[in-house]
Amino acid sequence: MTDVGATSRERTPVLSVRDLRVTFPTSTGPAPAVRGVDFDLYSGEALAIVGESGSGKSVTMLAMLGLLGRAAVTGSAKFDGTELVGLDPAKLRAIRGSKVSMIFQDPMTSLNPVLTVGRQISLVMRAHDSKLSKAAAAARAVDLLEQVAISRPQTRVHSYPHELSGGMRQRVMIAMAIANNPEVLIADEPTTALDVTVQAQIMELLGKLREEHNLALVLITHDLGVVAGATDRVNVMYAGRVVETGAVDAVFRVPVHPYTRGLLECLPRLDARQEVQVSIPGMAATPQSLPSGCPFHPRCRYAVDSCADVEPSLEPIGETLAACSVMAGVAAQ
Amino acid sequence: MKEIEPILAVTGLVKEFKVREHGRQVDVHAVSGVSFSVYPGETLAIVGESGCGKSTTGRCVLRLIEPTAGEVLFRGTDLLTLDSKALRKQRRHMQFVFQDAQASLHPRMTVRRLLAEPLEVHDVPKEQIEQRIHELLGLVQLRDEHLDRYPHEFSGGQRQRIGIARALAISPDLLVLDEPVSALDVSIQAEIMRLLIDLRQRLGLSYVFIAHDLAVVRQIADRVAVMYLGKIVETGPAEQVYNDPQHPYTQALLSAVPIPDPNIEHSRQRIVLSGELPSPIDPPSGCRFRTRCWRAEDRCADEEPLLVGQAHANGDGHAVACHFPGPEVSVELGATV
Repeated sequence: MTDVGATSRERTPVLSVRDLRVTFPTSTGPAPAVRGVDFDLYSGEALAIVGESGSGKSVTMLAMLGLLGRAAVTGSAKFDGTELVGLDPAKLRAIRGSKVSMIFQDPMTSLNPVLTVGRQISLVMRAHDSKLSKAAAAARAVDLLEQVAISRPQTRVHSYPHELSGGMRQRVMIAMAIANNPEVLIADEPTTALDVTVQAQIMELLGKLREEHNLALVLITHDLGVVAGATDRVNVMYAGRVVETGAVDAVFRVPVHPYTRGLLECLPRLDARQEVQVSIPGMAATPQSLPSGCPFHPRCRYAVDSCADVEPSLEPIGETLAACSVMAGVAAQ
Repeated sequence: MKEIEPILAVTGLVKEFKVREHGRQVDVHAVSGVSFSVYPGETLAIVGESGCGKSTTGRCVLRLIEPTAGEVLFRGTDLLTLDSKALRKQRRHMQFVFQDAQASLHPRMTVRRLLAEPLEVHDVPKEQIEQRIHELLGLVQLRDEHLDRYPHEFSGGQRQRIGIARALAISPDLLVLDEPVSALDVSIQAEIMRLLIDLRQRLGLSYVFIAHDLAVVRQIADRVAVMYLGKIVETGPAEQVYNDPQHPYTQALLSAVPIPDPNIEHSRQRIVLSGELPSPIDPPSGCRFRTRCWRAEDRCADEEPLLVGQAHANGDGHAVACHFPGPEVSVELGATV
């Protein structure tokens, strides 16, 4: 796959995903949740993975890190040259939470309610470094809380999760995620449960950490507003595939795929009062009920008969890569 | 227009919850003296972040929870003085739509039962019920084949349609909508917003629209009230509040909302509030926002700012509760389209 908008073509990507597929066994048969996803991620870069519920955006990342129990995962996901798909669980554990770490939407359910936050941060470090003493880990936990801008870190290190606000709990999660100096941080809807002023604080923090640690950031979100301000590239997912990918400026300026266009059109905007646009009628395709051909065609206002026959693959159209045979035809003329 | 009587006039609404903290009883000051009016056919949006008291305010208005003090006039009748029988009569005219239709619809009732129930409660004659159910389905764009299904068989957007149909069953005049679209995907959000706007016009409804998402609110609100820690800090016509916010909190709130345009985002100055929301058990003296406000001076701790401005007697002007109101020069929303 050609990589539109990658910062440098000579550099090797820190994460390289090819034809990743995830299928869940269900009582009604196999449900293909991810159906062949490709992307590269470079150091210091922020990639957004955008999509609505059930598009496969989270599952892609969870599968890569071996966090999906019963799902069948195929394809390739290489981190610094190491193949993660099918990797021995012990070896995967050594990478996960250390070189590649992840934060989630709901910090309350990700944190252990009966351990102080200091102890939880220490445990993450000592799990990956058996030589690290308890005292040294505890001292570093205070440092980390300070790095994520928690005030009075010496006191807070002794707090339990329930004593903290939602924003502070997410800061603690971020402190745990960066404790082992990861190269890749995957943030799955990190601000969705937070108030908008707290969201601004957390996004500012993630941006700062990315710069200071040269982190590669994968931001999984349904919020195109957050994507616009915080990322360099964007993958738009629908029904388990990337339907459009490109530099964030290009995708927002001239979205090619009808789904991307629809998403941007129906988004309410703060900076202008506008009519409500219902630009994507109907319901999202689910893994159990995948339409034939292009899975978006039943909801697509540009669809022609042939869209129900062949599923298009990503190809350069305009300034991005998009999977749409109608738009490819328009561009070719 | 303003000679028209408001359909809803709330004055000095207070709600204090009693809780135990470290073994002693304390008051949570959830809503501390909130006043607003809603005129026929109008949408008033109450916006604010978690813990500002916006949902409590909405629930107090319909007495789903009992307010501690205040006055809630619905077409001139004070709801807070009514006994339960008289209140039920008034409830015909005002209904509540919840955020989570999944939790507010009984899982073992079919759509038919869910829609018939409010009609039976309000003594609609049996022979009219079936016809009304079909009308309601049409209003929210569901089909007859949906009638015998259960809530879990629907998508989130369809469930919210059922919740709206149920609220509309007895032809109310006022709907209080508490975060009606915040649990939905954006494409579905747009459908429900479109539906709410159409229904408002077709049925001449008035809305109290409670939401945290200022971009969504902008699509529907005629007027906006911004709440912080139990008080309205700014209120006015929506366009004035969005284009010319005067209260520092309103400015911070608007500036925090991301705009889906990389050019605007990269050139925007953002106010990032420092610190945390103070506890509503022990709110700051004077102005409740002063502990996080960059304009605060001694006066703000001593003296509570009143909600004043070009407010008309019926409260429909642009009003601000701040000792140092005014535009924030360094913050712009960016280019308007």
